[in-house]
Amino acid sequence: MATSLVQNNMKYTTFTAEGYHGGAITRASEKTVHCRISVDLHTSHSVHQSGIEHIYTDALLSGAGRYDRASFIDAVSMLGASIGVSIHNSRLTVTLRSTEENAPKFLKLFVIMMTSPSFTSTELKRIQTQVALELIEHTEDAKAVAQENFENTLYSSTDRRYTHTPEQITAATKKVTTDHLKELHTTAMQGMWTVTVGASTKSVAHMQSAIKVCRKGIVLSTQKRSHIQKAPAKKTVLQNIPSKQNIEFAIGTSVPLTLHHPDYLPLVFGLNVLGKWGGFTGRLMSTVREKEGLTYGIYAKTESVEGTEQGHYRVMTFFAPDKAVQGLTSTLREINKIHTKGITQNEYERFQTILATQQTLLADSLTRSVDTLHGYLCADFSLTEMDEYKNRLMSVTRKEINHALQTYLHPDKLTISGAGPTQKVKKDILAIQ
Amino acid sequence: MHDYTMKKKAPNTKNVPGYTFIDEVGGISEYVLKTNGLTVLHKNIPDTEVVTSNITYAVGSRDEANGETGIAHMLEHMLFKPTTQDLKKNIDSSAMQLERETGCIINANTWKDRTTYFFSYPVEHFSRALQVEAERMQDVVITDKEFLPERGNVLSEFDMYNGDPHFALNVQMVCAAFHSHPYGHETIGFREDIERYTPEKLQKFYTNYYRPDNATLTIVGDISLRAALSAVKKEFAHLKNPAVAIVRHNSVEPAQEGLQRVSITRPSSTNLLMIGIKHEGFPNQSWLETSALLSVLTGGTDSILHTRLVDTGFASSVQSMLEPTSEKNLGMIIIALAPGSSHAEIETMTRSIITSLRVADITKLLKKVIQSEITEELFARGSSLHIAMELTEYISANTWQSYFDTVARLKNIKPTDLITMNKKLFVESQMTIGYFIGTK
Repeated sequence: MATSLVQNNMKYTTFTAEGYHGGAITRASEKTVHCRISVDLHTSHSVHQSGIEHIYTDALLSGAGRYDRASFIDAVSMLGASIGVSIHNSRLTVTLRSTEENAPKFLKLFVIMMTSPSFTSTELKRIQTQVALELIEHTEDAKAVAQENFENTLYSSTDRRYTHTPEQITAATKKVTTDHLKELHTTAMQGMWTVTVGASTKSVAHMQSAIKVCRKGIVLSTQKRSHIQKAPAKKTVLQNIPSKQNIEFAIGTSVPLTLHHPDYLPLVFGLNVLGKWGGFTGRLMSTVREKEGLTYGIYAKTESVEGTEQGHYRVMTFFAPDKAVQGLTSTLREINKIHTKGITQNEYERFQTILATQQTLLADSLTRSVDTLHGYLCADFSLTEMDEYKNRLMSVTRKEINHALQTYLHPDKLTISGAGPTQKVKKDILAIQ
Repeated sequence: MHDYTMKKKAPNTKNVPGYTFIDEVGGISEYVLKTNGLTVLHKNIPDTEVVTSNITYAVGSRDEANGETGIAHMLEHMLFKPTTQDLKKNIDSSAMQLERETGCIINANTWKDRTTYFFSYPVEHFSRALQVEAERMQDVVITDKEFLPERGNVLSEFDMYNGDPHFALNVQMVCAAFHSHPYGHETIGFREDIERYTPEKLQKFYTNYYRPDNATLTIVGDISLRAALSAVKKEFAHLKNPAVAIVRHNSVEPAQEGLQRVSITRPSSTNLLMIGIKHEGFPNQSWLETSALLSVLTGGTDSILHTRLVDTGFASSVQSMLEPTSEKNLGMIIIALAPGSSHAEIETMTRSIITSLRVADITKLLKKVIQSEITEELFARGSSLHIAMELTEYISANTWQSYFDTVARLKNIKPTDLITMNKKLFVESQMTIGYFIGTK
């Protein structure tokens, strides 16, 4: 079954078949192929599982069929193509990029990778060493540490959003075996795939053929997923990383909404007014950066809200240590203000235009359009539902928006997570809330 | 009156009133506005309803004097502040207001040779975007009231970069590599200089360099050539150039006589080795060869240094950096050491690998690099925003037409060319080596 719609110079279609569903965006005489394939691997999110996931992404690219790692990378590179494999929140995503000309040969390699991965013990050993080094480097990524510690206060350790410590994950990776990798791969193959491709009509057909081969004979199995979100509660978590110049912050709380809840889109609208991601339109950028000169960037948005799982909202920013208290005070003031007083009529009208423009600008980039469509398809939207959803965002009322801001922002129950040179200002930050 | 029509003229079919036609290549047309020498490039991409307009000023960190490093970048920030017209209308800044009222993509960046400002928006905002760009070319108000908070933001930005070991070591590397040439400091400048800016210094820089005959306006998207040029003339034709000529640096870097070395020590678990090499300007053929060589050495998991250092556990990552500067600059190989590896040991290994490169080692890798570039070019030319961004570097090098022949020239590179380039670049009189030593 397929549905379609046309927007500017792009034609959108969807498809459903045995073991996968997805969509395609075609553009006349398109010379590139950009594809995303996602599957949910989440079960219990143990440390052991995290360890396997950390190894798996490299292992999948490290040999398949008659190719060892070097010859597989060789074969892909000689076509000028690329395969990216990542796992975020226990969702595996494979990203394929190629020219149209080389797509048929490239897709054959992709099929071999997915149907006959080697998972050798030699490569496992190499990857274990590499991952251990990356995890050491990660301890100094203050932005990532702030976000992970923030999310760890909102979700239980079995939830997909929880991040175990680098030490725990490193220990877990050392215990990973090739059998573990094969088991995880079986989970990936037995899960429902979401496939989104942007290309010419011919390449979309090639892509669909390749996917069909991958899915042949697969028996789908559904995993029991663990999702435990904690109620909003006041918390401050600071991690000292003395080598940094600035303190990175993640501020926010859990939001007990899924994508389909009637309050969700009004909340999204309201958070855009507070801190639209990127650019200078949000209140936080206007005040904390432009008027007060306290930071280079400050934004807010919802995250991890899905069709069946609830998420959170997060304000992301950084401050120099000597500005941290002032910066946090200003940020909390703005959260409080929008919570109490809501958005103005002027903001409401402006952001309707801003959000509409966001949609229009997608037409400028096939890659961005594919990535956006993929997000909707992963949440099981049809094209009609996707269109209705976008229209609904434009038509939420100011009353609905302000109600959502009052209900879900919880300025008195925020997590403030900071990572960087926090030692000297720890006491003052802890005293803020 | 200055003659802005020094370049070749075109057949009558290309004539547009008020403009001199200069060139057309690959669907991009070049015109010069007769009244003031503003260069305009246009490319039509139909059926998207989106336009990207981008103005590039031929001014960057290379135009900065000692004691005023980073001023070009500071000025870039000030171009988002109110103009005298904005103040009369009681508006914060019409550039910011354009974004706040329409949701267009808005940004800017400064680099060594140029400063560029761009908007990407639905086509109905085209005229307004041009109005904003024309007005702020020469009319931004630079007073303490606007400047001081923004300097705070720039200092914040500086601290953000300076916390990164890569940036911190890079600063020392370019300082060591260039004693006289203004490429010897990073675009954001030194903190000590940023702290000492005054509105007067900024105003002088602004007046010198922000002028129509020092600018190229690029328009890419769903708008016809005639409509675009007509709108540009309406908004820009009245702007004038100062009577004085544009001030350009005339520094010539003295010849380097031996290896330069720098090091930084900080409490950190990161340890880096950087190998800097002086390379020719963009987009000369030798720049392309340098780019191909660095990709062969560090680009991807099958690159030479990745397989010899990362796969063997001596390093956790390898990468390279090569800026498209118009003059001779410092390219870098950056290696993050694995715990237990020493800087001296990895330096010795790396230099040995590089100096013993043979044609057989690189032939296949070069083919992959070229294939990868072909793919990347196709992807990069799929949106008006990406096209405008990529063109900026060619405009900055004063050869936008080269945008179309880069891949063809890459395809002509032979493995022997890379071996020759390798021998030329990795000699001590061209090299600077840096250690970032983490003491954690």
